[in-house]
Amino acid sequence: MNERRPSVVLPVTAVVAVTAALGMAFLYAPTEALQGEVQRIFYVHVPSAWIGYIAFFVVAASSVVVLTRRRDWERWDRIAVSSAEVGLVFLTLSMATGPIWGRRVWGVWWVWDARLTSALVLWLIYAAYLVFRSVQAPGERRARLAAVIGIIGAVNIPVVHFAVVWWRTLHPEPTVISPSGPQLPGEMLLTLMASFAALLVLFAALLGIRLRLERTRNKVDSMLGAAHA
Amino acid sequence: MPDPSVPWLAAGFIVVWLVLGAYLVRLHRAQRRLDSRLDELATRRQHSPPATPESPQDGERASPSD
Repeated sequence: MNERRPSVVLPVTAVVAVTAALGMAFLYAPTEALQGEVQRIFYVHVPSAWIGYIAFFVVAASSVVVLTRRRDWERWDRIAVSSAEVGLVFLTLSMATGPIWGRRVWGVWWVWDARLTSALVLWLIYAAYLVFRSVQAPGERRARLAAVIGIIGAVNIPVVHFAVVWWRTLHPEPTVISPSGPQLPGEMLLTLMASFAALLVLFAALLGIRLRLERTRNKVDSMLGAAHA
Repeated sequence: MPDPSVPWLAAGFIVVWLVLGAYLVRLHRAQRRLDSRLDELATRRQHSPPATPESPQDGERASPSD
């Protein structure tokens, strides 16, 4: 496949899926009785956080492969860094929309409760992961050290998710992934699932674009390395 | 009476588009920069004289003890 001509199938599918999900969020899902229209932020805020969890799980899984393989670790390192960056974008979406919703509903932008604080820690770990990579010289040493950070960061994912169950928080308890099952009306649950599916396709599309960038970067690095050898 | 929470909803979605838009622009610029760097390196490699064992540089590398 020509590196200069990326496939447009996934990006186009992502645009269609996100448009359909937005249509459902604004036209199909009912208006929440107490919170009003602002509750529709839910259809971006929650799935973005889930995509962030998935992305960081991919980072951790790829990092394990980087640490255990002697050969072909470069490919898994590319997947890890690409997933970390795209995951950080999705977690940023969740963490940026949360305070806007919270300010309207709770009356505050931010509280240092267990959910918000652990989510911020997760964001900071993967931001540190990317900063670490950007200041280190490319190579196996960087890949292995970054892999350790990638795995440690993923340990925080269940802490973020269960923080609202384990501790008393201002943030509400899970309404979908909870032991007693989904607590949402049918239309809201369907819209949430459609938004999640659309953002998952968007994640896959962005990951593909980011992986292509990383492959090109590796080629440039190897050509520069060959020129300086 | 219009819902007073609508501006908050709008603010939320504006933030989403700004973050995603900024990231896409960043990815596009980075890819373009790397593509032109790759072209530049490939052109330089084509135009540079082929390395031979007789060339002084390679001769030096072949016998580091010298």
